[in-house]
Amino acid sequence: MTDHKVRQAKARRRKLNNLILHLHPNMVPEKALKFTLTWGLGGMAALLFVLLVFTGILLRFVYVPTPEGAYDSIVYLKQKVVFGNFVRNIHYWSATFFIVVVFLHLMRVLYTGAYAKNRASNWVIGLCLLLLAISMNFTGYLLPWDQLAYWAITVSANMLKYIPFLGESLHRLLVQGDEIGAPSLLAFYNLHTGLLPLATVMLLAFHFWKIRKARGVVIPKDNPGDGSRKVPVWPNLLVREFVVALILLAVVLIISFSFDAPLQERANPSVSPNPAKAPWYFMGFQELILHFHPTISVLILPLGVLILLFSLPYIKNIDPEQGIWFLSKKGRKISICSALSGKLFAVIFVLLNEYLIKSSSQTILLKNGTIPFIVFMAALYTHVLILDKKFNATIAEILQSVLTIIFSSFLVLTMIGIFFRGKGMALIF
Amino acid sequence: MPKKGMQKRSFFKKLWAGIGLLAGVELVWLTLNFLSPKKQKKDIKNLFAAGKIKNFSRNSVTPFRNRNFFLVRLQNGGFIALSIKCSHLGCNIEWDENDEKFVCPCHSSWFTINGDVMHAPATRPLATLPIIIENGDVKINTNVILKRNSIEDTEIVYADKHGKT
Ligand code: HEM
Ligand code: FES
Repeated sequence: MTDHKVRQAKARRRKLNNLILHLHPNMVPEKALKFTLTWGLGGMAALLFVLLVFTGILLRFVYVPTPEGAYDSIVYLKQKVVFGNFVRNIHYWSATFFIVVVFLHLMRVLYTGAYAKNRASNWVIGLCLLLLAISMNFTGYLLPWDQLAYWAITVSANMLKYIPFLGESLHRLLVQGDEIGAPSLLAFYNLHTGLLPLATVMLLAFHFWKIRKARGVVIPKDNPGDGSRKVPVWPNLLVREFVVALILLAVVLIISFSFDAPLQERANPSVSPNPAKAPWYFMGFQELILHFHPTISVLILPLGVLILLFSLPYIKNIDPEQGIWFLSKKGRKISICSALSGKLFAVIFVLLNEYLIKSSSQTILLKNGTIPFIVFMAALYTHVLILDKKFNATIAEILQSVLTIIFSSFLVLTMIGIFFRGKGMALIF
Repeated sequence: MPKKGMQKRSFFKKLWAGIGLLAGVELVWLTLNFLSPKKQKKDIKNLFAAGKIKNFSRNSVTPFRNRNFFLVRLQNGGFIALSIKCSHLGCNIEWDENDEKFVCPCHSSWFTINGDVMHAPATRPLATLPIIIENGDVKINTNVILKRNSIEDTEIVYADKHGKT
């Protein structure tokens, strides 16, 4: 390299240092560049969040957070404001992708064992970000004040009431009264456009700082011989990130151009639509509620999964192989089998429930899902024992398998809720 | 044994921690109180006159959608006011004239004419509203909603206090 070129490169690096706020170090391990290690999912989530903030700020200029004004302001936005509909669509689709991408990002962190050791605290921060992402989407769902919004939020908020002791007060606090009305809309609006995004920004800063403190993303251990080569962040990493960002942006824009965000009739508190579905990411819960007693479906199951997720990196002796998908060859086989059996289990359960248990006059314990729940837990426990004793799986591999079963069956329930539930929530094909 | 200064320091540390904790609790308490919705005046009666007794035939269900209840007159002449909100997740139920049952459009719970569950996912009977019968007028207190866990006959109100009219 000539002197001139070196100086140029240095100057560029200095500018970069300022520009991207020390998000990246100057040199990154070559292995960290491999796209299929992270699939760029965290970066995609960050970009989607930026899109959400920008379009959200624009929407705030038109939106009126009152039951009288909300619906009309959206109609006005769609019909009269230049690019109003487009901006709304970008916000809607970014929000949808955001949930999907954040969830996939969680899966990639889980399956590459990146939650353990010095990354444990960042896993916890990440989980809080997931909860924030869901809460932001949920509070935004009410704002259009159409039939879809009103009843989806009514149904989901009422799920809270099934929490023993605290449920009623929690519901009153969230809804700011006994049912969805003007105070709820104001509260949701403030949460959606104030507190929650602010908290997200702060946690994101924390999240990124923790990644740098852990010396970047997780990478596989060095094999003897190949060494850990480092390459400059520009152009190696930054160009890759830029390309991913552009592709994602293009996809979001094309979809926003082609598909409108839904808007039904104005909210009518005295007529429920048939069927009234929760927001799509809560459809799995709604499906659970059809089959299980609410104490199981809205309390025991979600709380159990949350506790498992939050405590995952702190479980004793957990030591996942890091930077390798599914932790090991064995882990990969186990995960694939777990995913398949989880899906199969969910499908069989829903069909059995629909065509045998519900219609016959069985005992109440069978009907309200207590017995199926116990059977499921027993099966899960046996599964864990077999993995431990027969296959000699590590704790990390076993928990990975358990989470795979839970996630894949929940995914099936969500799909059934979205696509196969028609009038009166009957199964349709 | 630690020096005197050290002891003092640890004492102040504890004091600060205690004050901090107190302040934190206070802040949470204040915030929760600020955010908790204003209490509704449940004890103030809001009597809604539904109509004369004779307007409601036996074994009939009359919707009052704007007031969020159904006025039911049973076969034996008694009245019950059933909340329109499904006891499952709060959708508005509808009366199915042909099958003589309440149907919830959201997740297809069914209820009998006196509000008992016929079909899950609902687990509790429909809530009721208090009824007062005065001078042949049926009046409902729409400020009160009584949740119930099982069906009891005490919710049924008869025009003639002594028996079934
Ligand atoms: C608002 C949503 C989120 C954003 C914008 C975000 C962003 C990022 C980014 C940009 C990275 C760098 C590596 C990569 O791209 O994969 C990352 C890594 C990481 N994220 Fe997230 N994240 C979010 C939510 C989550 C969630 C839900 C979890 C899991 C509970 C999580 C846990 C982690 C962990 C543990 C790392 C370090 C992984 C490693 O070192 O390989 N994050 N995040
Ligand atoms: S709200 Fe009525 S069945 Fe769910």
